[in-house]
Amino acid sequence: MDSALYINVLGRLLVSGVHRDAFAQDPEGTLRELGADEPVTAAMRTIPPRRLEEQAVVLLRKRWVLVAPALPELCERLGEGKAWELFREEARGVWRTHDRDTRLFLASAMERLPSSFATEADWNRWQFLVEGGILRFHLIHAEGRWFPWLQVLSRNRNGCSEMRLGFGAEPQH
Amino acid sequence: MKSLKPTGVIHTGVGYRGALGSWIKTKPKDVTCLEITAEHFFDHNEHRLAWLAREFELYVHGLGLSLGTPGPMDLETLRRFQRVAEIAKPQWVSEHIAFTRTAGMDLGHLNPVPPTRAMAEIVAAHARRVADACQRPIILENITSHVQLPGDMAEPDFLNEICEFGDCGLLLDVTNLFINSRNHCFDPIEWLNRINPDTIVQLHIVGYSKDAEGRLADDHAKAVQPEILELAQEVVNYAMGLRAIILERDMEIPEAREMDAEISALRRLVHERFLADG
Repeated sequence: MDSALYINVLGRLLVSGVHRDAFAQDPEGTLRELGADEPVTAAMRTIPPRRLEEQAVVLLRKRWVLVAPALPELCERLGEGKAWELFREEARGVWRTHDRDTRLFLASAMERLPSSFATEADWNRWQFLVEGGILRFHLIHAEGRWFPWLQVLSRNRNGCSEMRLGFGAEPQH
Repeated sequence: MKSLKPTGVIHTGVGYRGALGSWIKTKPKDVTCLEITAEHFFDHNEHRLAWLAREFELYVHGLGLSLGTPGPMDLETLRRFQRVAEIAKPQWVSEHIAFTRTAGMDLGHLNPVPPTRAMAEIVAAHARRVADACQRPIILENITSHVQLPGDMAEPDFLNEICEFGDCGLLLDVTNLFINSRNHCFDPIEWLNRINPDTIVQLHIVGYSKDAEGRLADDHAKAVQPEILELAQEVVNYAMGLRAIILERDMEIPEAREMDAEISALRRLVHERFLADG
């Protein structure tokens, strides 16, 4: 048996929920589609799809451990369980680098969450994280204030940092 | 394994993590060694590593060399691993019997390899390569996995073959053995009795977690449970070449008092063995 081919096919199954779903329906057809030859197919066709999925979830969990700290407010408001479920649902079908993992999950979460989920400033910050750029300014009209805040977002190694400037009552930092 | 003979001394210690730093600086009495994760020191923290090497007996443990990936090793990762070993000057280095990358992808975590003769040769050849690069013996760790891949042989025979082909030792993760035995329904003592007792050089121990469906997981977040200690005692009594026991803890790190208690429990395993030996 070609060990390199075996590991490549197993790797492709572990990173793609689409391939795993197909494998659960038709193991041999899916293995052939992934380029497995006869000996590799014979060796892999009896792998229980449920166990394969469980192993894949371990990999997803490892990705989540890197994504979650970059989005602390989102995770806190959704709650750890719900945030993980959203990520798992969105990310199980795709494999991407850590940076893209965070951005694309956030983009998908923003599409699915109601506008009342977060403040205008939060949405601005998340949009900035998703879209990139180095610096961005937003005027934020807060209730009970005559003058708007100025929200300044700048890119840093951990995502972005934020400063809020305003006249009158104390601006929030 | 020719290069790591038993010394009659069994060290106890912990896997070094930044969050444990202040506790470790107090030099807890039963911590006589540390295991550092090579990747945590890749290209930075060299001063801290040098300090640790002066203060403690160190072992260097890798996560990402992907010994189970057929073909050439990732030379850049090997170079960085080698640099860490050069500074840490460990008695041995260690890695997992697993793959973390394929030809085109980095999977970011340990995955099982099929227990075949061909795979044993691949892992063993890569292990030799790492040992040569670091100019130190290497020991390899059994992993936990939800999926059991079919192969030519049972896991203990697979591990024995790798150790023989690679002239390397075994880092037996007691918790991984316990978890796999529960999740895949086999007797861990029977498994242990098939392992060559001279190859076991080091142990890893940590508590396990349980998911909603009752399956056990190795998330390094829990205190060591009595059933893990019970199995660990069996392993300590069995492993003729044993030289170190390492407590692992990555998450939900407890207060110093609890860490002291966990380490003392490992020390007691060693006392029990020496009492049994007379």
